Order: sequence, then structure tokens, then C-alpha cells
Amino acid sequence: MLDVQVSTDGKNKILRLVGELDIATVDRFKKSVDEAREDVSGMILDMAKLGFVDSTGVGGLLNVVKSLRKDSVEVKVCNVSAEVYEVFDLLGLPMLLGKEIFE
Amino acid sequence: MSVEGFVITEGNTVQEAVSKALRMLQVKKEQTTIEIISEGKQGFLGVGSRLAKVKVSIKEDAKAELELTDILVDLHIRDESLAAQYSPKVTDKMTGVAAVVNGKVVVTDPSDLGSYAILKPGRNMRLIINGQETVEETPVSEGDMIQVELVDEKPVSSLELTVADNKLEALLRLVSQPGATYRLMDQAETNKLLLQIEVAEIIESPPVTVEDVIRFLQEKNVVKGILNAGIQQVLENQNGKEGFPVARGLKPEDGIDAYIRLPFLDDAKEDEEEPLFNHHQMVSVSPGEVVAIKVPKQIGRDGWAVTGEPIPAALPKDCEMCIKSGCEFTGDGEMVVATIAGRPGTANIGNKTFVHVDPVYEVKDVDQTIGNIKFAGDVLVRGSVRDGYKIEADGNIEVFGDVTRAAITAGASVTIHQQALGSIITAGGRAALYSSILPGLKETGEMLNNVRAVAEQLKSVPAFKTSDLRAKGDGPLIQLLLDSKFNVLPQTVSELSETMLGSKQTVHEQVLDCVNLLQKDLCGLGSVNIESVDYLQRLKECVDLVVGLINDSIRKEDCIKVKYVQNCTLQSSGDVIIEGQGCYISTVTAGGEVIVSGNPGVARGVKVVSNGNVTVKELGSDFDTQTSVAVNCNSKVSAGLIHPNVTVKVGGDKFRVDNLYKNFDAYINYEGQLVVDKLLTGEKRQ
Repeated sequence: MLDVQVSTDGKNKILRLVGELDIATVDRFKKSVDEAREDVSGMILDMAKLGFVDSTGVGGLLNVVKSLRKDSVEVKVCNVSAEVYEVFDLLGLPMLLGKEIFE
Repeated sequence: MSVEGFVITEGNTVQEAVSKALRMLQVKKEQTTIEIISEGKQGFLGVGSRLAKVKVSIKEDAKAELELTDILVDLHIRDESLAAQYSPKVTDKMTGVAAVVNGKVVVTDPSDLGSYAILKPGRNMRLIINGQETVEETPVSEGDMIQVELVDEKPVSSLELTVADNKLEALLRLVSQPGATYRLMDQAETNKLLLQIEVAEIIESPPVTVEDVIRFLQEKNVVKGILNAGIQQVLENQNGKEGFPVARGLKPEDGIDAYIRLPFLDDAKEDEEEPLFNHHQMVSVSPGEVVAIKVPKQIGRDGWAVTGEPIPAALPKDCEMCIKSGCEFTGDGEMVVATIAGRPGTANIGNKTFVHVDPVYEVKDVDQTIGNIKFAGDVLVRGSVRDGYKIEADGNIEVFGDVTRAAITAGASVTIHQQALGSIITAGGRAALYSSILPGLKETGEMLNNVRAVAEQLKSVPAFKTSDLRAKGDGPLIQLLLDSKFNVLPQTVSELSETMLGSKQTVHEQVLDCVNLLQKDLCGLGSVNIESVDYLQRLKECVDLVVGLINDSIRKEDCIKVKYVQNCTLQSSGDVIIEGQGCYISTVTAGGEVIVSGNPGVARGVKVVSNGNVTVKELGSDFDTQTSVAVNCNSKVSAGLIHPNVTVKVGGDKFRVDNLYKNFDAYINYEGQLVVDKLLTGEKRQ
């Protein structure tokens, strides 16, 4: 299950991900991002309440980040739990996306 | 007693030295002759003092009498210091005394209140006083019951056996020592008596017979290959320094490995270390000619050890002979004959030897009557290659005449017996290609291992769900890894594939298949379909196989050999050797060495880039033509003569020649610094 709570902070959109980002919820995640990306300069993905990921989910996240960057939207990922960060780290995301993306 | 029958001793005075000698010899003064070597000097307060020195010899007639005691005199010499303490002293009538008379201890009590005589047991005896054994100095009186039990020395005969580590030889040594019975030595009265012994009778050691030795050897498990003559020697030379061989085993004869004999090498035995035929000499076979013969392995002969057990001979290795092209097995499969006329050769992969005969295309001249040549084998041009024509061959190209404004590309070596003018000459296309893809392949292999390791690790992270993998296989995970951490892997594979496709070289099928497989599985969306991470291991094995094949294949480097070069571009995966006048206004790139060795052997107006040493007789010219030589940091640039303005680059360090030098050498030393050795010629040539 995944719930995406969207809020606005000036020119930035904040997406709070609650639940799991996996093969069942990745489409819901992509849809939420697509709805929120209009006219924003920055997007913050708050993962404090994100408990689990799978390979399809992380693949979706990767595509979303790449696509937003293509549109010059600055992406930040924050409050990642230690467990999920371990997955990101093993996949080399900090290296690939730049360490500064994680806050 | 010393064997010579005399001793030389020193003492503070002559007398002291003499008494010492007598003690050592165990004789009385009247049995000896005394020779004073040095009187000795007292010195002043010990300064400048010198010891007295005497030589005391036993008189001839006394010797026989003393012979009996010889054997054990060592014992007494060792006792000397102790005996000194007990030497007879002027006996005081007030004290008790003891003496040995006719082998009996005789004790006399003190006359008054003086102290009693003291006894101390010496060697080989037990002193029992009133039923109590004592080893210390013990006062005795007339009433004491004194018993002395003498301990005789038993004779010893012992055999010492040494069996060699390989059990092929046994050495035996006989050590025998006679024994002796003793009696108590008579001694004069003294108040402190050290009991001493003298030899009563010598007991010969028991004789050792051949039968004894054989029985002994059997006990020690030396049972085979007994040498009777050796045993005899042992018995005749007892107490020898070293043993004699008494048994000898049989050394095994190791088997001989099977090998492939190549009759065509018998005629062209130029390079024996390289079992492959020499590239620079055209060896050819006709259809039906024997190309290779398998010489079967030969079983060795087992040996045996002196302990009787067999020693197995080393097993010979077998090898497999396979055929590749242009040849076939004869009936029994032990021989390969050519089916076409061409150049025979072999390639070793593991313990398999592949025999092949490559076709040879032979023409007189390459001109308008023949046109360009493209051939999957060797090309032999008896004449010359004319303006504007091209030769492409998978094997060697040899031209007996000139090459003028032509392009020559060989998969292997190029030999031009005359000059090359305005031409592009490439040798070792395949080796060059293989060298270029080898690093990428190795990297791919390593990364495949890493992908597998990280995938396994990820599966065990609690926050990582694997339900999708259970449904679809490991594909999505591998795809994700190739998209993220290992995004270099698909890139590397794509580059490999592009390099292979971009090259006109024919390559081994296995190499092509492997790169195609990698491309299919790892690039684009190919990886999604991979079922399990274990598949990566199979890919890795495939890569390893190809890396081995390539390593084998590029070990023999191809080269360009030409007499004279002008306005040419030479590219070789191996050496470039210019044997005639030299090389003018050309570019030379070599994977191996560059040697300009002819007469005069000039390299002028050239640009040389080499992976090996560059050796030129004369480098550069007076006319300031641009000449540069670059080698890697492990190589050396040498020139008999070098002109100003030549640029020499070794590794990252550059040196511009400022004068005319001879005996020029430039290299990087072990500290990583550029070293330039050179001698000023002292003359300015015009």
C-alpha cells in the first residue's frame, strides 16, 4: 500500500510517501508525481514513512528523478529511514544521483 | 694419556708444570723424560710474567707397562682439577690419614685430637661406609667398614642406520668401543683421599658378523637391494666417519608426456622456443603431407625402496590433437595430413592442440592483371605491389619486391624484402584488435561477479521486498543494478561490441559469440529476462574462457620487417624491424620494439610511438627535420648517434636533444626519474 500526501511550499511541492514503494504501488507513485510536477521548480520526496521498497519500486523512483531533472526540476529525497537507505546505498544511488539529493 | 706419549704443560714454575703433566699422563716422574721449553718468569706485580712450559714424555720401556690404562685416560684428564685438590700432601701426624694399599683402603686414626681422614669416591665406583653409600667427602675412622664397589665399563657395539628420504639408499655405520674392568689404584697416605681407579683388564667389544647386520637391517625394515660388499665395508671400517651403503633401491623411471610432433618444424628449426612455426619464414605443405603426429605418452617403470615398497613412476600426461581447417586425421587418428596446399600451424587451448593449414595465395606481381587481393590466408607476392593496389590477408603477407603507394593489411606479419614507398602497412590486425578488447573483457568479468554479489546482498536487506522477483525472476533486480551502480557494465559491453563490429578482422568464433551474448543479455532491456543471478556466473565463465583464448592468441606478436621505408605509415601489433638503409619521413607505431639496424640504419624525419624499446643506429638529421620517439615508461630509447632537435619521450618525461651525441640511452630508472646517458661526439658533422 502506498499513500502519497502532497503539499505545497512556495515553488516547491512536497510529496510525503507513506507505506511501500513496490511493484503494486509504483504506478500510483508515478501518477502522483506527474500530477504534482506542473509549474514547480523543486520537488521534495519525504520518505520518513516509507518502510519497504522492491526492485521495481526503486527502478520507478530512478526514472522519476531522471525525468524531473530533464525538466530542470530540482529533486530532493529526505528523511530516508536507515533500512531503506541501505538498499539505496547498495544500489549506488548516492553515487549515481549525487549525494546532495539525500537530505 | 695422549696418543703421542707426551704432553706439553704450563705452570707458574717448572715444578708446577711437571706435576701437572705427570697427573695428566698418570705416570710417575721416573717413568718420563722431562724437557724444559721455557723457565718462566715471575715479573713485577704480575707485569711481564711468563709461564713455565715443559714437555714431559713417557720413556719407551714405561710405555708398554702403561698401555693398559691408555683407553680410559681421558676420564682421568677430566678428573684432573678434582684430583689436584686431593694430591698427596705432607701428612700431619696429628691428623688421620688414608691410603690405598694393594687395592684396599687403609685408614689410620689421628693420634691426638686431630681431625679424621676424609674419603671421597671417584669415578666408576660406589663408596659404601658402614652400609651407607656416600658421594660426598666423608670422614672415616679405623673402625668404619669401608666397601668400594667398582663399576666396570661394558663394551659397546652399535649399528647406526640412515635411510635416505627417498628410501633409495640405506647407509650403515658400525660404532664399537671396548669396555674395561677396574681395580682401585694404590695411593700414598694422605689426610684427604680421592679414590681412583685403574684399568685391570680391557674387554674387547663383541664381534659383529654379517648375519648380525642382516638381522639388524631386517629389524629396521631394510629388506630389499642389500649390498653384501657394503656390509663387508661396514664391518671392516668400524668407527668410520660416515656410513657405507648397505642397501640400494631402484629409482623409478618417470613416464614421458604425450606430445605433438610437427614435421614441418624439422626443416625450419629457427626458433625452438616457439613451437609455432616462424612467422617470417614461409613454411608450406602440400595436400597429403603429414602436418602433425601425436607421439603417445610412455608409461614409466616403477621403482622400489630399500624398505621393499614400490615407488611409483610419475604418470605421463596425455594431450589431445584436434583439427581445425585445411587438414584431416588419417585412419588411426594419430596423424594429421593436409587437405590443401598452404601454411601449417598450431594453436594451443588448454591441453588441446588445434592443427590447421591456412591457404597460401601466391602471385607474381600485384598490378592491373591481378587487381586488389583479399584472402583468408597467407599471401605471397613473388614480385612487387604496384601503385594504388591493396592486399588484405588474414595471415601473413610476404613481398619479395617493392611496395609502392599501396596498402597492405595482414592479420599476422608483413615481410617486405625490398623497399616500401608511400604505403600504409599494417601487421597483426587480429592481435591488435584482441589487445584492444582484452581490458574491457576482463573488466566485464569482474563486474559480473560484483553484480551477482550485490544482488545477493540486497536480497537479504530487510527493507527490500523480493515478492516481485519471486514472480518474475531476478531480471528486474539485475536490470536495476545495471541501471544504477553498475551502469558502466552495459556501456563497456557496448563498446566491446562496437570495436568488434568496427574491425574488419576475422576473429575466433568463441570471441564473437561471447560478445554477442553479453550484448544481448546486458544491454538495453535484455537483462529483464534473466531468470536468476546464477546466470551471471555462467556469463562470467564464458568471459573467462574467451580471455584465456585471447591471451593465448596474442602471446605471439606479429611484426613488420622491411628493408627501407619512405613516406610510409607502419602499424604493427608487435615489432617493427627495418634491416636496410633506414626509415625516412614516416610514422611508425609498434606494440613491441622498433629496431633500425641496417647500414647506415637511419631514422630521419620519423615519428615513432612504441610500446617497447626503440633502437636506432642514427636518429634525426642535420637538417632539423622533425624527428620524435615516444616509448612507455618501462622501455628504453637507444641511438648510436643522435642529432639535435630530436624529441625523446619516455613515459611522461620529455627530452629535447641539444647537441650531436653518440651512445645515447634514455630510460626511466627505478626511482621513476628520466635518465639520459650520452657522449658528446666532439665534432660537428656537415
